[in-house]
Amino acid sequence: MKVKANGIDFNCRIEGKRGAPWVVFSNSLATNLSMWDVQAEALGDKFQILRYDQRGHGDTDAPDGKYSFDVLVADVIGLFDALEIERAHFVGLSMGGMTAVALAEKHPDRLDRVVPCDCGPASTPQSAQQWEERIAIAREQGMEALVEPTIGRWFPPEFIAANKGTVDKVREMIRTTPEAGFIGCASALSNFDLRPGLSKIGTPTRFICGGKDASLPGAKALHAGVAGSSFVEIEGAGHISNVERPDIFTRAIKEFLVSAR
Amino acid sequence: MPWIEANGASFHYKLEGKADQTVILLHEIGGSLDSWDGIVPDLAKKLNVFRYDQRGFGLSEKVRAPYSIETLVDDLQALIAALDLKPPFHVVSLAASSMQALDFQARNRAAVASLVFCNPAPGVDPARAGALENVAALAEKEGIRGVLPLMLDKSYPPTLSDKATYENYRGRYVANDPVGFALAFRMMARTNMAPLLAGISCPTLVIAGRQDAIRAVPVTEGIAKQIPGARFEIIDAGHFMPTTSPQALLALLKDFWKV
Repeated sequence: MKVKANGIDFNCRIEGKRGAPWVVFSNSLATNLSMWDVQAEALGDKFQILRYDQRGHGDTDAPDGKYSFDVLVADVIGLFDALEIERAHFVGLSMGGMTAVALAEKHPDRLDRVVPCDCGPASTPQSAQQWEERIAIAREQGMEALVEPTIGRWFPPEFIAANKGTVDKVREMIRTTPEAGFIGCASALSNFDLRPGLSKIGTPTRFICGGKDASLPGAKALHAGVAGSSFVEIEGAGHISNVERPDIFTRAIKEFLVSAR
Repeated sequence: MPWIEANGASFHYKLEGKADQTVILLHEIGGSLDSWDGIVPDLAKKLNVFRYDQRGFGLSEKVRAPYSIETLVDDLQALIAALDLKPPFHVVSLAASSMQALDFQARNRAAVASLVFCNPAPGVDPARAGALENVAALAEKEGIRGVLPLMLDKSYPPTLSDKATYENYRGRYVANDPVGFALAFRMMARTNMAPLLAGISCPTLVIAGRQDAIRAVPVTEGIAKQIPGARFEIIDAGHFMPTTSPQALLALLKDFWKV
């Protein structure tokens, strides 16, 4: 279904148990809401699930220009308002995870618990430079040119070799991401800093990160900055840890969310 | 008499039951000997049960100066001597008190017959010390009420127990001396007893609360794996498992000790 929020149309899917507490899933850069298929299915008996394609991703509108985490956070609040969601649990991975942390800093009144996954606290001059290079590739050669380098960065080689079907689905998500959306969100990722607000986060928070994900030190730094947060490292998993180890990942979020409120 | 002088401070304690085997219960930061109320009456039918308010907590003497984990272990040893408690000891710890249990076992191997760790926090990653220092500073500045959103609200959602149990726990928690609370956090922030895990030489049970929001099950399981031969169990419980799930904890303890 399409939902108008913060000035654009969002592609959303609502599933699970009506009237139960909401869990919202937010995707990473160059993926879409289908990355959460396993989790949405597994949590549907106890929660009402909202999945949405982030701005510029999947079937959500992809306006031109640079986006920022302020915009991605305003998108979420716009969706909450449009769908009359007063409060929700919020699970996000990578860019979705940073969206979760930024939400917890700015809108604690709309959140029950948050689970930021495989994400870090801030951009660096080096990461900004890398995003500039990837933006240039997307502009000049299209998303196709980013598919294999991205897959190689996200998944350990042994996983790619043994899980062709799963990896092909992710390849398709990258390939079909609108260029404008990739560029807009990559711009947000090249210039953000979540550190100043971390110590004030009162929303119960669980960080999850793959043990082989390059985000691991960043995820640990976020965990270190949020008092009373818990951390689950998924041994052997790379960046898209929910897709690689759906069993461990799903259990880690379910255990955390069922005891709330 | 429920108070005794030991290691230069006054301690409030309870000694219940009568048996050759003594269970020592070490409460969590922010708790008191009452934290074990849900399991003691039953345990005391079979075992000698010793519990006390840690330095700075409950009705024990309040502290004003920084202390180290060694002080807390000295406290325990002085209490054992003053009360003439005889080994073997079965030491049950919750959360941060696992640091104390680890050091106590390392110092008194012959006397410790078994260890039980509930949602253990054996050591703090130096990277996380800053967050604990922040909590301590907030407690000193704004009192316990100021840290509730960062601490109790995260570790004990009211849904984890009946209303009366929650309100009782919250009441005790808020009544803590903020300075003693802060000093305990500062002590925790600079302590890491995790290297002692691999050297544990007695039967050990590690218990994870499935709904512990501040310490995830895989983390606790990882701690259990560092202890030679340790038994690992998961129960439906939050962080403060003796309070939120006394029956499940009791059943495991009785099975572990065969009593």
